[in-house]
Amino acid sequence: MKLAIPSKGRLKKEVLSWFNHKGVKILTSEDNRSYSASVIGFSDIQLFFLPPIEIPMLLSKGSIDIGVTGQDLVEEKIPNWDKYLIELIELGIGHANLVIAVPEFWVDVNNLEDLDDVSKIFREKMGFRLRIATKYQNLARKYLKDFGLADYILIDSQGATEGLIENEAAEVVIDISSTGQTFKSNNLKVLQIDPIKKSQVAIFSSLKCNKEILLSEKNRLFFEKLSINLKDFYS
Amino acid sequence: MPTLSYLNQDMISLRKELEYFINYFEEKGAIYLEIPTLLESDLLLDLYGEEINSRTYILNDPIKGNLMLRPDFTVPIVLMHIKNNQDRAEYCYSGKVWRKQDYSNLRPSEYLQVGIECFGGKDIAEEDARVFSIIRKAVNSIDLKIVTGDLGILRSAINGLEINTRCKKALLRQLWRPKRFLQVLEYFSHNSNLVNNEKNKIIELFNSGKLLDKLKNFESIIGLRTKKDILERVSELSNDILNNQLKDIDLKLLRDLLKISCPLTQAHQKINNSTYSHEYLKKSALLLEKRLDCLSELDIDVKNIDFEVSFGRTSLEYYDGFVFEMMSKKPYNSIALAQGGRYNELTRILSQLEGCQKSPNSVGGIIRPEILQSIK
Repeated sequence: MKLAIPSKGRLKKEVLSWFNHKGVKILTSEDNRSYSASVIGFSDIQLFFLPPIEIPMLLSKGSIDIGVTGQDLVEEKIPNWDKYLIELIELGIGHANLVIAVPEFWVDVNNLEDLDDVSKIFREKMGFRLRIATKYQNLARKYLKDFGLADYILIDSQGATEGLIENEAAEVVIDISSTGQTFKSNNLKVLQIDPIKKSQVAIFSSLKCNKEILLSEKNRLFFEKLSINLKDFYS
Repeated sequence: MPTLSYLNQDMISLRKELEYFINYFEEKGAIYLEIPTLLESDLLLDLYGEEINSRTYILNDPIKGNLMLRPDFTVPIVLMHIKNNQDRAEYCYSGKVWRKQDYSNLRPSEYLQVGIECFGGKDIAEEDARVFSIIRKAVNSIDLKIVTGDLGILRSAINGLEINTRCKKALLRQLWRPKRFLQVLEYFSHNSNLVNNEKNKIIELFNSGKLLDKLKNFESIIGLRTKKDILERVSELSNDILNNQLKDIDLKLLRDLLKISCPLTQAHQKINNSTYSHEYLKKSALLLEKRLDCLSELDIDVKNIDFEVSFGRTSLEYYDGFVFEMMSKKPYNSIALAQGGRYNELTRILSQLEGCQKSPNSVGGIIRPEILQSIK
């Protein structure tokens, strides 16, 4: 069975500690930069450290059987994800909201209706559409379409998105926030409306994986320790 | 993987079909055009907006920048036409277009289109009817369900109201998003309660001259939108409240118009009989009537054509007048095998962007040969 978990940073630490807490010990290499590891007592499980953003696609293709990643990333990367993946359990870590942020001094903008009005005035004045920078193009587009925002365009931004407004490369940002500190530090405020998406880290399995391997006696104990009853999902 | 429609026999009949349509369009006076497959994407992205952008294939070229795989023929043809500073002309074309489809959508992402575009026609009703008739007669043998609309009805209904430009513009730009349109309608109605506390506070600050002081407290003014832009907008918001905009009778007129769905032959009467009528709306109803006469003169069976005021609102933000869609009745297929309409506004925007003086009237229509073949 192939298992993928986040390869870097705080998320990796939190995920390892969650597994540890459940009594599943993951032995990582002494070398912090190595991506090889194993699950103690489960020699049949092949463990991979992968960037969380790549895990959803690998799961949907069946290249890995089980993956730990953010719900936001699964929804963003795989349209109709539940046709390819099963969410087995939420880990209660990596809580984050996908939110809309604008410059703090836009005192007249507090909701989507305001943003719609501003995008109209902006496009008329500037001759181009209001630019909204985000890494979450699919989630953002669906949300804005449902509302009916007009005269905007999405700008793809893979990092440091909050800085784009100061660089005059975007007017609005849609990004993940846990505390909102990055926004504040960049003189942005979050619109006080329901977040586009509330997300946390979860364990997903691929619908393309080999069911028999997943349900095998060897793996049964592994899932039991994680409080996952696979038979609830695969019958 | 090649699908059934790409089997050799089908390909031969498809090719014959395409030739037939092109010949037919040429007989009617259209000039055949070859349009490039790769289009420069910057202008198109800004023009189409997110809805269509998300469905186009963008290819990266490190030197030329991003290129778009042709998502339709109309825009490149308009650009070519206005750049050559032409006025009256008719073109036809045939080839593939590429659009990403939803997961749930079984439509192919690569399909054929053959169509015609007419520019510079002076008589709107006559030109609308002529293009419709060319397309209808090109797919002659099929038992069709035909739905038409005219976005000009709602546009003139709004333009003729006694409301300020801000309100008009707000309504006109949301015509294509029905849910949002109703919200904007509500916001500008005279008894609107959509102004929330936060907004009231800002408006009060503005009216008491304290908004500028508040803005001065912000150390960091970032982005292209300025403090002046904010003051100007809040002034507009303040106006929105003071001026009772949409009266009950206006709201009723727009809501009633939205509901009109009837045989084409009755459409102009229904519009004339609505809540009330103003000069703009009367003119639009007259155009509808004139178009109906033109269609009859061209031997179109107008009795079997439906009309909906709302028709075309959820499709491309492209058409602004007459719109039509033809579907197969037997066997039933909900995917339009032909469609088209008037897009004067699109041409106007493109002419403006390209710095052209003239902006010719524009109307066109397409046929999807693969859909046609699948039902034959």
